[in-house]
Amino acid sequence: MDINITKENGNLNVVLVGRLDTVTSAELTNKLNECGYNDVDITLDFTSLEYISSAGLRLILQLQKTTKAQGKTLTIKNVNNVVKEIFRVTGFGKSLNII
Amino acid sequence: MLATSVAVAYTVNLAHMKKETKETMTTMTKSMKAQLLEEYDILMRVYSKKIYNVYKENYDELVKTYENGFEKSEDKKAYYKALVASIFPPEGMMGLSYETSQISNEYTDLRNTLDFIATSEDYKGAYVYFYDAQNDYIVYLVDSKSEVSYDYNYPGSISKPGADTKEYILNSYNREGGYFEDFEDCVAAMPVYDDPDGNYKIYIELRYSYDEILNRQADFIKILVIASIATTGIIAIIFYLIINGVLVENIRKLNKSTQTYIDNLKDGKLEKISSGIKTRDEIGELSKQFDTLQTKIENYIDDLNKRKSDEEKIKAELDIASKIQLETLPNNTLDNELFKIENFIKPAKEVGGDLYNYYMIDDTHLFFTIADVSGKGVPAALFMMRCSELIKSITKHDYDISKMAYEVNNALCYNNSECLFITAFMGILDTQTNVLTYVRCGHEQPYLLRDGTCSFISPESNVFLGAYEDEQFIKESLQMQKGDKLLLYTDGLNEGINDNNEEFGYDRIKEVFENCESDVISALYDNLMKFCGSTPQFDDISMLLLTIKDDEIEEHHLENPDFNDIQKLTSDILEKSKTKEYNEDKIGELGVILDDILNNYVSYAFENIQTGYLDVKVKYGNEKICLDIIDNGMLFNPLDLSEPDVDIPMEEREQGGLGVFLVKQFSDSVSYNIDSGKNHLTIIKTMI
Repeated sequence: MDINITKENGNLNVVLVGRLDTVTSAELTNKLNECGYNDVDITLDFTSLEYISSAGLRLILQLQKTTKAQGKTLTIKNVNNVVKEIFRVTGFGKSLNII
Repeated sequence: MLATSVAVAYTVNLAHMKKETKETMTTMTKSMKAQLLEEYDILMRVYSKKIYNVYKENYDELVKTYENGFEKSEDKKAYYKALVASIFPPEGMMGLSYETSQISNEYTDLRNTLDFIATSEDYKGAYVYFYDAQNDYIVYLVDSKSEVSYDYNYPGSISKPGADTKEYILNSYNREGGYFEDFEDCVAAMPVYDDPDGNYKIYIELRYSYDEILNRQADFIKILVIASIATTGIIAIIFYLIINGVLVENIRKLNKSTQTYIDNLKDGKLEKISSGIKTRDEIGELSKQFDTLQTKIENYIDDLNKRKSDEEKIKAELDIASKIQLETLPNNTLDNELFKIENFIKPAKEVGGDLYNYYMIDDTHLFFTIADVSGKGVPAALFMMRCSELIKSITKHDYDISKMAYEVNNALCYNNSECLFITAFMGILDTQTNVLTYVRCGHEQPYLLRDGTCSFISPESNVFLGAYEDEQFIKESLQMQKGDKLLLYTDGLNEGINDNNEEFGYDRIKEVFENCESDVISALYDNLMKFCGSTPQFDDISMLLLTIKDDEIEEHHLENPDFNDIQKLTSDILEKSKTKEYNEDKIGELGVILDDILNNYVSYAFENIQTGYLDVKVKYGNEKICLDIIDNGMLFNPLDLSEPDVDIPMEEREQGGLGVFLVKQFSDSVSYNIDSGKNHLTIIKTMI
C-alpha cells in the first residue's frame, strides 16, 4: 500500500492507496508512530482505498480514541461502497466523521 | 538337302551307269561274236577242239590241281604252259605248220583285241571260254588279262562257274547274248560257237566289276558334292548379301527410327519420325504401321491433354465451390464464460454434404445444429447449401425447436423431386439454466461427457428432414451441468473405415472422448486418421463440441504461512476475481473476508504445530465464489466466537471479534466441519 503523510497547519493528512489489511495496517501504524500523530487532526484520505479489514478497523478505532481524547478530530474522506458498508455493519459509521 | 540330292544323284547316276554299261557290254559282245566267227575262225574251230582234247585227257589232273590250287603263280604258269605246249609251241620256231602258226597268230591277235577292249572300257576282263556242262567246268580259251597275275586264266585252265553264270550258260535264254549281274560283276556273255560234236559251247564274256562302277560313282559323287557345296556356298553368300543389303538394312532403318521416336518421347518431345522404307515387303508394311501408330499416339496424347485440362478446370471450379460452401458455415469458435462451442469439418471430396451452424438467438439462447445430406459430391453439396440457408433463415424466429424442425422439414420437402434428405440434430441451449432442448432427426446420437464418463443422449429419434411433409417432430430436453461436454458428429467419424474394412465405431469415439486431456476434436480426428491408415476418406466428417464451462477452481497450499503469505494469497485471489465478471464492491468485500479469516490461522492455528499448513481452495463460479479452507492446526471453530455488539459506540468497544463478524456479514454462508481431524471452513459469497 502507498502511504503518503503530510502535515499541514496542525492537520495530518494521510493518503492511502491500496488496501488496509493486516500487513498494511502494521505499516501505517509504524509510519504514524514515526511522524507522530499527537495533538493533530487526522484526515484519512480513502479515495484510493479498496477496502479495510478488521486489522484496519482496529487502527482506526485507536486513532479515533486518541484524537477524541486530545480534543482533535479524525476525518475519513471519500470512502467507497465497501468501506462504507464495513463502517455501517460494524457500527463505526455512527461515530466516525466521514466525508 | 544336299545329302538327299547327292543320294538321288548317286542312285540315278548309278542306274544310268549300269544301263550304259549294260548296253555297251551287250553291244560289244554282239560285235565280238561276229568278229570271232569271222576273223577267228581257226581259233573257234581248231584251237578250241585242241584245248578240249587236252582238257579231256588231263581231266583228273586238272581237277585235282584246280582244287588244290598253286602255291606260287610261277608254278601255275609253268604247269599250264606245259599243258598246252603242244598247242603253243615255243615261239620263233621255224617249220611250224600253218595251222599251228595260224592258231598262234589268231590267239595273240584275239588276246590283244580282248586286252584292248578290257583296258579301254575298264572291264575286269574279257574272256572266251567253253563250258563243259556235263562236269560243270569252264575251260578258258583266250583271256584278256595279259599281266601275270593269279587271275590270269591260262588257256586250258578251268574253273567252276558262278551260280549266275551257270544259270545263264545253261539256260542260254537269248542266243543273241545277254546281260546279268553276278554278285560283284556286271557280266555280258554270249554263246558264240557250238562244237559240231556237241561237246561244248564257246562263249564270249565281258566282265565289268561293280567296284569299277562304284569307283566311278565315288568320283562322280565327289565332284557332285564339291559342286553342291560350292553352289550352296555361293548361293548362301549371295543370299546373305541380299538379305543384309536389303532386308537387314531396312530392319536397321526401322529399328533406328523407332528408337529415335521412343527417345524423343522420353524427353517429352513428340516428333514424327519416318523410317524412309519404301519396299513393299513385310518390313515396308511394318514401317507403314509404325507411322500410323505415331499418328495415333499423337492423337491420343492430344485427347489426353484436352481431357486433363478439362479435368483441371472442373477441379478448379469445385475448389471454388468448396470455398463458397464452407464460407456459409460459421468458422469462429464461440467462447465465453458460460460455454464454448467448437467446430470441425472435412469434406471427402472438394464439395460435401455435411453442415453445421450455431449462433446466439439472443443473449441467453444458443442455437446449434449439425446435419448430413444423403449422398456425396455436387448433388449433396447443392442440397447442403439449400439446407444451410433454410435453417439459418427459419430458426431466427422462434425458440421452439420442434417448430423449427417442422418448418425446415416442410421447406425441404418442397421442390425436392430428387428426394434428397438430410439427417440433423438441432438444439437450443438456455445459457442461464443450462437446459438444452433439441430434436434429433435421424442423426447420430450425440455423446455427453459428464464427470469423466460418456454416454449417448436422445434414445428416440424423429425421421430425417426433407422426407415427409407436415411431419411433427418431438423435442426432448436435457439439463446440462457445469463441466459437461456434448459431442455432435456425422457418420463420417464413426463409419470411417481402415484397410481391413473395420469401422472406427462408437467405442473408439467414447474412449478418446473420455480420456482426452485437452483438445477433444483434434484428438478424435488424429485418432481417426491413424485408424484409417492408407484408406482414403470416403465420407464427409464433421464435429461440434459444446462445453458448458465449469467454475474455475484454484487450490493454494501454504505451509507455515506468515502475514505476508496471506497478503499475497489474498492479492492473487482478488486479481483473479477481477478477471471474472464480478461486482467491484463484492471483490472488495471478498478481500475483507480473506484478510480477516486467513490471518487468524497465522495468528492462532499453528502454535503447537511443527509443520502447519493451510489449504485454500477457491472455486470461481459465474455468480458465486466458494472458499474451502482446510488447516491442520489446532481445532477451532471461528463461528464460536461471540459477535461484537455493534450498537456500542466504537470508542467503547473491546478490541477483536470484528474479523469473523465481517466475514459473516459479507458472506452468503459460512460453515465449519471437521474433516479427518482437520478444520474445514467453507465460505460462499455471491460476487455479482
